[in-house]
Amino acid sequence: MGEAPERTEGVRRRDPVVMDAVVRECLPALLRGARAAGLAQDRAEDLVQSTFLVFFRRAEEFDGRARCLTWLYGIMLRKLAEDRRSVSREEPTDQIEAIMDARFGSDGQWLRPPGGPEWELEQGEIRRMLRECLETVPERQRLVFTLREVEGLTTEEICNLLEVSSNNLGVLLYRARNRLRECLEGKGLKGNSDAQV
Amino acid sequence: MLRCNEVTRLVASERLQTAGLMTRLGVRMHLMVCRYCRRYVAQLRAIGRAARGLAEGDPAQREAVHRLIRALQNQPD
Repeated sequence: MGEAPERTEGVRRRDPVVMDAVVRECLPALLRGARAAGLAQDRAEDLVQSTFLVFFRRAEEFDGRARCLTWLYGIMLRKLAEDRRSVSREEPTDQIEAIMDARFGSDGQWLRPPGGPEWELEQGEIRRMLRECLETVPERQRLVFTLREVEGLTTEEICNLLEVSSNNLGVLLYRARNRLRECLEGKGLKGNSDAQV
Repeated sequence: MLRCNEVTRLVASERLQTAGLMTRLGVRMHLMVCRYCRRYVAQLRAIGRAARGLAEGDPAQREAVHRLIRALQNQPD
């Protein structure tokens, strides 16, 4: 997914109106991403600010092949990786895999089906609980989940940004979503009794 | 016929889009007959929606965003 030609040109020329629009549009997403990657609020804000400074400095290198947001995420995640030991591959084992496996019988059918209703009517309650549940998700899984669900990046964009294979991304998304689902169910987000086995 | 553990993995990992036509059809057929998998999929959707709602409705983050935008606008070129 690329950037519109007019905007690409605007960025390359550092057109103040275009740059201002990019900041307004992308900054909230970057800040959420930095928080999702596990940074404290003040460190997240510092990182986002320095990301934009790099963006301003290197604006003429922007070629529009990726969206501005993706480009900015790339800058930010590289800066983040410089600070930490480089982000490693996803662990081959993870508790959530065993938790999920235990839900199915040897025939692959649900042994312990998902509890509760469809959660359609409990959006407010889910939100409140989700805030706590997100804290229990490992950083890398949480970052991937946020980029995908909240920021709406395509799976391809995320693979390029984090330099992971699509299989690896699938594993991360699977683990993040099931961790959250298990956590919400554990917090009592259930209603109808037929889920109890 | 796809099994429940295969369906949940395909859906949650989003490998459905790159899967073949038969697999995609298999998942749809499975969801028609399996209410637990339907429930599971609906719950994952609800979680995504709630995550978006959480991000938009966070006043502390909104304030931080405005502060950062102001700081960036005041950067000397």
